[in-house]
Amino acid sequence: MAVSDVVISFMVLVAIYAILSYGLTLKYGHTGLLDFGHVGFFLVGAYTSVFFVLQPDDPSDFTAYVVGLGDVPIVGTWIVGIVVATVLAGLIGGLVALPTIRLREDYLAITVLGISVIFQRFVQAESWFANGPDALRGYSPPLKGLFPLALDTLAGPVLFGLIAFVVWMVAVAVLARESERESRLPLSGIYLVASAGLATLDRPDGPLSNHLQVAAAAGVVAGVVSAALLATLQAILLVGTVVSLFSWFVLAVLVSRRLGELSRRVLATGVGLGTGFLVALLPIPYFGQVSAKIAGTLVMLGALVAGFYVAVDRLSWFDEAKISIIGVGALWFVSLWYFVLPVVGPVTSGGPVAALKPLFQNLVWVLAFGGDVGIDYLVAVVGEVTIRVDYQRFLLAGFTLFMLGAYYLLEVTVRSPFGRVLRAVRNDEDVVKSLGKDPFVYKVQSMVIGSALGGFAGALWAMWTQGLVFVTFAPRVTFIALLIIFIGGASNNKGTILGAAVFWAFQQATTQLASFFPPALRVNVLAFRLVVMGLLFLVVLYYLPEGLLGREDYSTAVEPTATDGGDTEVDAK
Amino acid sequence: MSAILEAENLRKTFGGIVAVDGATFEIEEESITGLIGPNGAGKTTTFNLISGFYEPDSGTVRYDGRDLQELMEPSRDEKLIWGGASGITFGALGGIAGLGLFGLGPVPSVGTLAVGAGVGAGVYVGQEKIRQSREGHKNSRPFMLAREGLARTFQITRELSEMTALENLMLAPQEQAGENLVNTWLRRGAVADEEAAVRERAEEMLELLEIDHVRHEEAGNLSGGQRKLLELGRVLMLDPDLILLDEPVAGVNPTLTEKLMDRIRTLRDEGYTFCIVEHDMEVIMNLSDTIIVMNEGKKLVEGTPEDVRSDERVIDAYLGGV
Repeated sequence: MAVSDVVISFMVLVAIYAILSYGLTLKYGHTGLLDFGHVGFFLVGAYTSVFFVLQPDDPSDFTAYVVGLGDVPIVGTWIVGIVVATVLAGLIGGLVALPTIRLREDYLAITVLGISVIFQRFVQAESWFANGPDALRGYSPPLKGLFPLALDTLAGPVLFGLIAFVVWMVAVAVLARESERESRLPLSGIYLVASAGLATLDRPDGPLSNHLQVAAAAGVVAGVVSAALLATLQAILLVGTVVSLFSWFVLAVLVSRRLGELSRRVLATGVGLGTGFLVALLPIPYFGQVSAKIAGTLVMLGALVAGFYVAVDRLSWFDEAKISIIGVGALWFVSLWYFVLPVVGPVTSGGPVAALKPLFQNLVWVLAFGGDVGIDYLVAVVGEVTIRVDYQRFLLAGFTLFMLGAYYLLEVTVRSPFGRVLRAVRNDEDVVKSLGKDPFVYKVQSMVIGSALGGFAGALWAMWTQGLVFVTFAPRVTFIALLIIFIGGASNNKGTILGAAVFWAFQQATTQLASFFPPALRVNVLAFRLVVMGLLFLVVLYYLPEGLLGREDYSTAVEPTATDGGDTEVDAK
Repeated sequence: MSAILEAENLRKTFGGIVAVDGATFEIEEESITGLIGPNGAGKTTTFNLISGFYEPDSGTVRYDGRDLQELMEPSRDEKLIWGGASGITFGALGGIAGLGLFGLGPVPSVGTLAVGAGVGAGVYVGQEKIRQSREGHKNSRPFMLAREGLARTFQITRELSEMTALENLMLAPQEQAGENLVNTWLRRGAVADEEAAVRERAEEMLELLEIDHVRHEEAGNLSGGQRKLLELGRVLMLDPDLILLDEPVAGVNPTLTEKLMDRIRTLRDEGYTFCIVEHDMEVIMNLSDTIIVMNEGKKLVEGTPEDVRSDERVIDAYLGGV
């Protein structure tokens, strides 16, 4: 599996878990409802959506489930399944809330935890319901049959156009924000070109009133153009390369602007930290003996953490910039892992030219390379490559869209008078009561929407895993979601995405490292992750109680109607 | 002038302590009524009773001629919506369970549907019962009174500490369209317009109270006096008819206290009614039209500041009968 494929599956998981955690961000972060049973709604969403797409149960085989609506026209589709899953999870969230939400918050937490365990045990014990303790399989995710895409049909170019649409839209949205800042690059010009001139329509009286609309429109243009190029010229390599390189360019702009704000000292320390981390991990692949692997890595990691701790303790500039340093270090480590490590092997065995191929494949991440099925291309210098557009990338495009949608929904919800009441409920219910508002009504609404988001994430999870087992819905998932929102900052909507990324980066990194151990030990290594995760939770709560991104100001930030010159400068902060 | 609030034979006990023991008094419309008394006289409990936060053991409070407990009852519509929604959902689940899961025929499924609906309605009634058994002496619906125009502040300030001063004020206005999720999602223009108007009012209030320089400061970072002002501002943003102020000027500097007193008088002249608990005798004597002196849970004396100042019983109560 190429490195880019690892990153794609990582990003899909981040999207699912970010949506799942958004439910908790709303419930706990914004409203203060501690819900230890969030996974219950995840479960409801997953199984509900699957019942809609499964074929009716065949009594003669070994699997058994209560209902399969897959052969009913219109009803038996993923779209209906997802909608019903979301609504049902929300409804159940509201129902659970009715009797419990007036309890003190710890009682609520425990009640909902109990309910989620009941759901899980029900699925496990009642084998007629969803195949009991065994996996519930036999359904396929939407449009799976069309992949790898064939370009001579209509569906191929259209679906690839969808991928191009999402990537381009996100990239243009980022670029739009960056183009407003000082830069050596002609960013506003590039923005104009990338948005196909649509950026000029972004005027107060124009048809597009903000960057987001420009980005969406530009995404549509990019999607249509890509689809047309594919359908007419079969130019999949060209389109894929352009889209991929544009996304890299925008990422580079974003990263370099962020890094440019840091001092050289911080940058150098960060690079040192990242390299040190990589070196500390080297014993695992390169030492033969298991004890040497573990001892070597642990000693070096210990030295790194101790050095970091001492530096935070002794050096005030280090202490102030510690999060930036970790960020730079992580970025450096990831770039080494993504661009340098895959090249090391080919360079040593086949020389510089052999190394170009993995590098090229990692750069053009929108396309999948290799495999038996696919279209062969000859690329100058790189050589012959086989190209597919695989299902994972399609899922990623869709899920990213959903995640951004959930983010937008949450932003709109909390940056409103409604969100203000939620925050007031979190702060002090008696005050809310004294101001003529019923906290109960707001808590129920928060619970319904938060649970619905959990159910939605469950449906996506069902799509991704293509098989459901009750063990995946253990209470642990709730606490992982809690960890995710704590990493980024409990009531910070951007932080949730960051938290999900940190969590899954940790998961995937440890999975990769575990593969260097003998098979018998792998299980132990993977089990040990839970211990590390617990430690991570403690470290976050103790040293970063406000999370990596801290608290965000979610006031509605609407200007008063009478223009008052003194306000603007205060608002700017 | 008529009484906007009448309290009759109010009684409230906490365990063995009788906090309020048969207090009877009236608050005249468009007046400032001071409520004073030595520590432990039952002022704050009385305050919690007439603001609907506590339920009296016996006795009644009538606001605008209507009983407080009745005012706080959920409306029939509200009971129907919540009980009905709960009943319908559980009923549907019961029906589906009967038909699909247990494979019953249509007729027995109606039975499971009915059982489900019953359970659903029961859940709604049950959560009211749970609430009552848990919160005992506290009313859970005092917000109904704020909607009717009876508003209060708290003795120990209850600012929303993680929200800015401005947001604290902007929370207060009633029936904001943006507090409804559907409007928030679908009618964003209208919500933004209303929000701008609310913000303008909040800014004016901050200026009036001379705390506009901390408008973007989190309320938890404000000084004690500033918090008092913020709370006063918040209650004024509600635009109520009767305002119950619990020690409004404790910790506020003398100059600003003067200004606040002027402001309260102006508001009274504009038609607002105030009831104030305050320990600062000078303030209360200056401000009040009528003063009610409480002692040991009962009304001791009621009269104009001059009457009260010279009353033997009041002096006795304050000096502890020395």
